[in-house]
Amino acid sequence: MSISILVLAPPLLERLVPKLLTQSRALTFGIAVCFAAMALSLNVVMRYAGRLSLGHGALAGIGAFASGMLTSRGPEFPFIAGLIGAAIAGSIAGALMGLAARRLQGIWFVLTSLGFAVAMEQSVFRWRALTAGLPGLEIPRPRIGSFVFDGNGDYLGLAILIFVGIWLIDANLSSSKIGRGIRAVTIDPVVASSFGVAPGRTILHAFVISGAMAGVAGALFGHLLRFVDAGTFSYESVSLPIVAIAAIGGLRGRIGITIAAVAYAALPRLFAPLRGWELIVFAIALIYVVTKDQAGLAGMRSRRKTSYAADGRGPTAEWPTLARREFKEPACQIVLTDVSVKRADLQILDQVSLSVDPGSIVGIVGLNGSGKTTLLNVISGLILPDAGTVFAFGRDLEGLSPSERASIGIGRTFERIGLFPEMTVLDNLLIAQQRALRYSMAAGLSYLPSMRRAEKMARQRANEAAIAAGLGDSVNVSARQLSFGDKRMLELTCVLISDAQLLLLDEPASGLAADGRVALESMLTKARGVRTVVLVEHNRAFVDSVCDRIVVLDSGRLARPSPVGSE
Amino acid sequence: MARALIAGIADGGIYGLLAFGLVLVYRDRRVVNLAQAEIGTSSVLAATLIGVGMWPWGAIASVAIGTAIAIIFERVVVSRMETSPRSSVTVATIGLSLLLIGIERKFLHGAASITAPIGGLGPKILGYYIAPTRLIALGLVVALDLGLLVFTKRTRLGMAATAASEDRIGAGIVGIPAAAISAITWGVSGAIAAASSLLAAPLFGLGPGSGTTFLVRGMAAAIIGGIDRPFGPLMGGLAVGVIDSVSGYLFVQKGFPGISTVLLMMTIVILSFTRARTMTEKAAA
Repeated sequence: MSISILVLAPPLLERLVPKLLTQSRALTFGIAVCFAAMALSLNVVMRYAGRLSLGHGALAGIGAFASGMLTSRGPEFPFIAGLIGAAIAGSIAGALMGLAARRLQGIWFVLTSLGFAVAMEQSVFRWRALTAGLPGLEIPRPRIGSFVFDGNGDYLGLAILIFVGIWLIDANLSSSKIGRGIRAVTIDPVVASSFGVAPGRTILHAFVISGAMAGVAGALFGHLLRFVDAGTFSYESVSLPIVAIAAIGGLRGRIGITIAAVAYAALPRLFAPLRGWELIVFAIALIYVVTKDQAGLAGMRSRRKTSYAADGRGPTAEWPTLARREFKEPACQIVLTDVSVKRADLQILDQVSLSVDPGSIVGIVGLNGSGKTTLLNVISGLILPDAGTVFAFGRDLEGLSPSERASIGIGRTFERIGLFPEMTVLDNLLIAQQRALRYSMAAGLSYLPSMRRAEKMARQRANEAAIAAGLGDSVNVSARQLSFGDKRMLELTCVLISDAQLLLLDEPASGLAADGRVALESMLTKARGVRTVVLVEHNRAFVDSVCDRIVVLDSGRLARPSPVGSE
Repeated sequence: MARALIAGIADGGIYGLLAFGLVLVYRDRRVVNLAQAEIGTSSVLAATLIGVGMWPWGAIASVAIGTAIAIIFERVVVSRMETSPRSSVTVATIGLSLLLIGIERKFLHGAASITAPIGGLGPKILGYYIAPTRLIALGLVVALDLGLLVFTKRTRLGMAATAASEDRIGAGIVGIPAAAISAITWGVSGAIAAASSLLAAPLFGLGPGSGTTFLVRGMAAAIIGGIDRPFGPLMGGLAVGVIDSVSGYLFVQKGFPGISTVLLMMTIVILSFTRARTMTEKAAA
């Protein structure tokens, strides 16, 4: 049976395909595939990184011109070299966009990308030195040996193959640490940097990857049409429509984008009555989508709906032992010398000097506004002191960004709770292990065994930690839906499995129920000797029972050390 | 060179008009209307298609259509997005511009030549004729800028509008009709959009999707002029006109067409960096 299909299929296909897939239909589907690829590239910055770009048509155009010039001029490089050139040119242009995106917020970046699109279309794409100038550029179809992809059907097959490649790269991106990092930085750059994810660099990565994808998509389009000029990638015929395709289709992920691209680019060409309606329909759909979706365009759909067995409520006996992971180096010592912070005539910290012994637990108490959180912010790098030095891990921390400090082993929690509310509990626990995942970006995008192994281990550890923290039945629930106490537990669990050796805890006991507080106490007791802990807390009884030493901050000044147990 | 300078100043009025419409809407709800130029294009094309001739009925019809598009969009879409992030509202205006381009391509592509509302070559300065439409545009921007200044600083409604733009809920509590003010603001900006396209049409030509070229120049003019500065749109418009024509004079013959859009983009980027920083500093203080 199966053999007969194998024997019969090729001749049957050979007879049927030319009838169904005429030259013009193949061209139409080719255009749809190219639009889908361009919309996927836009989706990376729009949905993952939350940056609306009106310049992705121009990025695709850069790819098309790069590949076109490489394959049609001078030594007439082969198609594959053209694609690589398009990816490189696209990623360089994407990097420039990313540099703007890391500095410019919201509408300012949108306007910059609009300016970029129009400047490319009206100027750079018409320069004779870089492109073929006003007459446009003839681009050859690819060839392998003596076979030329002259038939639109043959080229469509090749285009689908490359599109599948882009699809897989996007899939790997969103399921690897790279996509998680991009999403984390987009949701909350401050918390992301506390887990060692550098916001600026991560946004730049998103734009470089997206630019390379756009460049390849554009090259694919150019070779399909055999011709590009400045108008091929114009703002209103490419950049704007792919925003609509990505925004509407993106609600249903990659499949949605592909379907939307086919609906936009192929349907009107296949069915005459639909001709000219595609922009109108997509525009109305786009307006409808943004009016309904209050959260905005950023934020990916949650993937994977696997459920884990309920494991009872409340932290288990294993939770405190998460703190007992042994380190090769001894737990770090931290020394602050004459740290002062002044903001607008207000002396927030005044020559604070403090030394915390390795493996000890120090509690900082004081009234509201006495500078406790500022002190933690100075250590974790969120605030630069006006004077004084911070020493930890045997080095001066001056000049290190918050994410670099996180990378050398400083972990912290926030009074407002440092989680990513839109992400699942599992993803939060994976972000916490971000710096332990050591595979390269290339390995992540190509789904290499090293990446799969590391991801699997991180996932396993995250699940174990979730169960230990009593969150075993809500791994796939978004962190927003947790109760306040559960959020606090999750945040502490994240810091514990991030393998930070120096823990800065900002009011860790606030909002915890009695059993949570007991678990926290036993966790801190287990941590004694293997981690250094600095905690800020209002609950004096709690501080008395867990801390080795208590210091009192009063209006930014360190009061005399007070012995444990005194009032 | 001197002629290029004068040509630039003459064009400045049209870009200033566009910038004025953008600034007006932005001041209301901090929304950038990326469809501003396309509203003008589509209403002029629609009016020409009706076939009443351009002057004066066609012009009146264009302005009426522009006003209607803007008010309908404000009422049906923007007013329902009070709680949405501003970026979503910006995307909605992208939707509007796509919709208008779609309608232009499907139904209005037959709209042909548009004659200048007022003929003649206009006055001659340094051997360069300044078309009457350019003069009208300049005069209109000056009048609108002046009017806005008087309106916001001297009238009760103007102060109410400023209050509503800063805090809509608070303004509602003290009895300011924020919704009505928004609708009026959008309506006026729609009318201005139609007027700017009307005045630009005989000089630059209009067609489906031609709004983009104007949009990026109007945007540059709005950013250069500054959003809250009196006479910002006029100054920005003049600056853009001069950059446009002088760079064209200097570079186009040398094989670098459209260099002015590159210059304008760089201006947008540089000003975005500095303006964005002062905005966040203001927010932090």
